[in-house]
Amino acid sequence: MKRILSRRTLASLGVAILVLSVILYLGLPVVALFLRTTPELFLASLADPQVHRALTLSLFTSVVSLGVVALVGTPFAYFHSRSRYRGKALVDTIIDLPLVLPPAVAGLGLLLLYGRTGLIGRYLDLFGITIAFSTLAVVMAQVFVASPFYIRQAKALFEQLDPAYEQTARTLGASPLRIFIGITIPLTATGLLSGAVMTFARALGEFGATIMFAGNLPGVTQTMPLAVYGGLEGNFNIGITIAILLVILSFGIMGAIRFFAGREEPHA
Amino acid sequence: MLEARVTKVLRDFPLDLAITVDAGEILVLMGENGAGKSMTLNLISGILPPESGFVRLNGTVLHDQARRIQVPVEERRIGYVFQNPAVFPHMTVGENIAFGLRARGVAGTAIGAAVGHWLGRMNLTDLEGIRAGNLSGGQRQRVALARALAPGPVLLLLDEPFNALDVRSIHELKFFLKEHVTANRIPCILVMHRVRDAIDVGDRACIIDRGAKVWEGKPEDLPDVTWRGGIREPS
Repeated sequence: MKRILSRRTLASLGVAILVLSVILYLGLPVVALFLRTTPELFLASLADPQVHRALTLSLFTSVVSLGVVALVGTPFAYFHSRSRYRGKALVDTIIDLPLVLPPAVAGLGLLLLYGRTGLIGRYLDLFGITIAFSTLAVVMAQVFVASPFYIRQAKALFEQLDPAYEQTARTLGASPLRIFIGITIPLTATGLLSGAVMTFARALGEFGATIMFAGNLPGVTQTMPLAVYGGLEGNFNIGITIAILLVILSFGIMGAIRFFAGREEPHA
Repeated sequence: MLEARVTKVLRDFPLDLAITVDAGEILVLMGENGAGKSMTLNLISGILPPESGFVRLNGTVLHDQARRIQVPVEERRIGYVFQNPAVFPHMTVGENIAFGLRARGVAGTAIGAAVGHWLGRMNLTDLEGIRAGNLSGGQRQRVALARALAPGPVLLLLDEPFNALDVRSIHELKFFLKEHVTANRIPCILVMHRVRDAIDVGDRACIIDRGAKVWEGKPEDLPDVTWRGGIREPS
């Protein structure tokens, strides 16, 4: 009996150590950020124009990126999920590519395409249009790396939706557009919002592709993650403050994702 | 009057059916699960295209493979209740019933009157403002039936519409349906399993097995044990 108990105790201890190790490994770096500053220093740095610029630019570009992804990605995911065509598997792979592609490689690719001497960029340059190292480049980098989070989710939702809803609406005389807006979107809205939050989070945290394609110009392309990086070489307190802001935003995003996941009602 | 001949090669067997339903007549389709009953309704409604054949409704060609005619589902004016009643859960009961009328451009005042009529007819008046996602299975089926009937369909296709209903509601709806179909001279195909219901509501019954018609006649003459899964209940 004693031996069994001790085995159980050992097993519990083992599990506790495992859980604790994971929690500490994932949580301690975040705690370290908070320990490196004081509330006074944090609040003082918040007033710094560099923090303001990075925060405003990050929120602005992430919202615009999300808007682009949602506006283009929703109808795209719908038609993609409803159609059968040759090469569909290839299209699926291309959609998922940014998930596995290192962001720096994505940034380099964008630069080689849209840069001043790039495949497309050289022609745009003839008309005085320069994309690289601009705020537009930040948005493009974010759209590139974040789009799969939304499109994959939307595609899965549209595929899982019981066709009886749309078919019933068709028999009732509704046009395809009316069905899409009035039936398909509302029935998948919770899941779409969850995908949108993930996309926003990915855009907000984007670093590698942005620094390659857009650079690190304060007020123009220096988003929050880039400003954190800049803080290592410049004002360290600014970097810490922005990092803490990003942690707070991340917690907010996680809360939103959990909220939407809890409300999800699959009409499959 | 509905005249149809539809064929489609399914995974396990080829479906090949010729069906005629007179105006105001209820044809009961019976057969074991997977025999092709729901597929037949999908082919007639145009939700799935038949591989060959034709569908004619009151003299109008809705589908003719040889002539490459395929009238879109939304223009066929069919009242179709699927096995899954598919009430729109994000809309209220009233909005569900109004959906088809709005889609067909009926004027607002007429929509209000029609919704009121069907709410009353299906004992749903108290539920008008309730979100359909919160309804019970039986209530959903009544909403689905009201929604299909409200726009005044010229053909009714009902796939096991009494499934989730209690005995009293089934009794009421069977006789209401018969009366409505007869009065409005709508051809109606009803998929169901219970012979008792088929006798009560059907003018004609047809048993399908593996995509082919194996028996057709008056519901009261339905053979005792004609197919696996068929239920003849004591009268």
